[in-house]
Amino acid sequence: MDKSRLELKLGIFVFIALAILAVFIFKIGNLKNYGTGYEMRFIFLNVSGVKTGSPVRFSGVDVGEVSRVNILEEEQSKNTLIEVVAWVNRAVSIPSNSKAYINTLGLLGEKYIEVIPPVKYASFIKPGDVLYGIDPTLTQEWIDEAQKAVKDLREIIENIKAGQGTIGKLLYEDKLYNELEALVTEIRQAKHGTIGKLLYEDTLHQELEALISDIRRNPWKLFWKTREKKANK
Amino acid sequence: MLNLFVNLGEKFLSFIYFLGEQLVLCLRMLGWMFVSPLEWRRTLVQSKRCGWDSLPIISVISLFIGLILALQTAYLMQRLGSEMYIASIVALSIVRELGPVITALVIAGRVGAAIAAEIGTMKVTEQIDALETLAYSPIKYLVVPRFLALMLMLPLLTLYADGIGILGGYAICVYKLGITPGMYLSITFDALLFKDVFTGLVKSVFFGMIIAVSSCYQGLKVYGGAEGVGRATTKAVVNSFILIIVADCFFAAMFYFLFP
Repeated sequence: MDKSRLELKLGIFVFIALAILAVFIFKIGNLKNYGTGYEMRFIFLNVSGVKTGSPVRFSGVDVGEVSRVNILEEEQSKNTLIEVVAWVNRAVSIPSNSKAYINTLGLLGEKYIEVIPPVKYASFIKPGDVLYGIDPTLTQEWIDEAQKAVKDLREIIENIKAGQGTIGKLLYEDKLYNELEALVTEIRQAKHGTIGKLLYEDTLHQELEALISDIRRNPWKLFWKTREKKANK
Repeated sequence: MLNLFVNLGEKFLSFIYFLGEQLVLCLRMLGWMFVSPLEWRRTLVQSKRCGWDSLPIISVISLFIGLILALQTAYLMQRLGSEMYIASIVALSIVRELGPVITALVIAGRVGAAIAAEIGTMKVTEQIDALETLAYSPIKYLVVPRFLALMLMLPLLTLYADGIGILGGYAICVYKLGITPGMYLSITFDALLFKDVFTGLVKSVFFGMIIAVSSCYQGLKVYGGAEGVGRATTKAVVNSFILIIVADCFFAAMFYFLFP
């Protein structure tokens, strides 16, 4: 075999393979470029599972990730705070009055820090600055709230059942029903009073019919009422 | 009854001999590898035969493996309504497992058989004895270049197989399942970690060593003419296959516990 052709082929082969390796390395190591960013800190009372490597999103865009999570003992207020140190891409400037939440990502329930900028911003966060986060509601707190609501509802239902209040009386006392029934019976039997006469006597009906047929025959009466009155005078 | 035990014992003894001889060959080869001058020219020729000449078959096979894997994964993922994850499953299984193993098996069949047949024929036609009479070590002259070539070329071929396999999955997902190209690539590279590629390459280096040693061993052991060459070729391929799969199991367990 010709010497130069052998080396040419092997050279091409190795070059392309190393190019594929380079693509893999650079594509895979994309986000973890710690060189071109800055560190900022978030303080929470509870981070509900944010850990090193969790993403940080600014208005829903991935801009960095958590690099450390520390527990701080606050001497003055006798409180325990969680400090989350995050690396953020240098190209992103975060307004210093933004709000930070802890949110859940996708199906698998991975936690991330969501930073929502305010409508008007005054200044931007500098490297090392602190942003106080809004604490996530614990599942236990949700359950407590729901239990309170259920308890209240149950009390109301029990009162109604006991026949107290308007609705209770409406549902459980037959006084109203009895009186209504008596009234209907009376009307049906006696056939007097306004309602009784309206239902059982046809005088009103006949008069109305006569009036309508009169108007139909002489529609001018509707429009010439005033002149008629004048004529009468 | 006695015959049975004699037979079993013979089999076992021959297995022990087999292990010992292979290890001796391995050690002698390692010794000769560092004796200068190294046979550069022959190593390059073997590398070309192993790498460049195997590229078409590796490309075709890994392309089809990628296509098949994407389709078979799509069967389940479409039922679950998560076609997005086909990309990560294809990428992970090709880079971690199928790329290195399929490449090694194909090379064992294509190059390992050729090595066993070539060395075996040289043995049968007494060319190896001739080398020894000329004070040339057949191990240095024949085995070391092949070992180096396989050890260096197999990881490179694995890289090709990884890239082309992912392209196969890409073709199915983008042209058949309607996932956008950018989405496919970003999910692929999100799912992959550097250690996935790295463990695949480490495995393939060892697979290359296994193929070289067991093929050269069978070639050097040939006796009895053309028939013996055929038997040695078969044995070389079968032994390489078994050793590759067993070694792969060990590597899988090792990497699982070492780099969780």
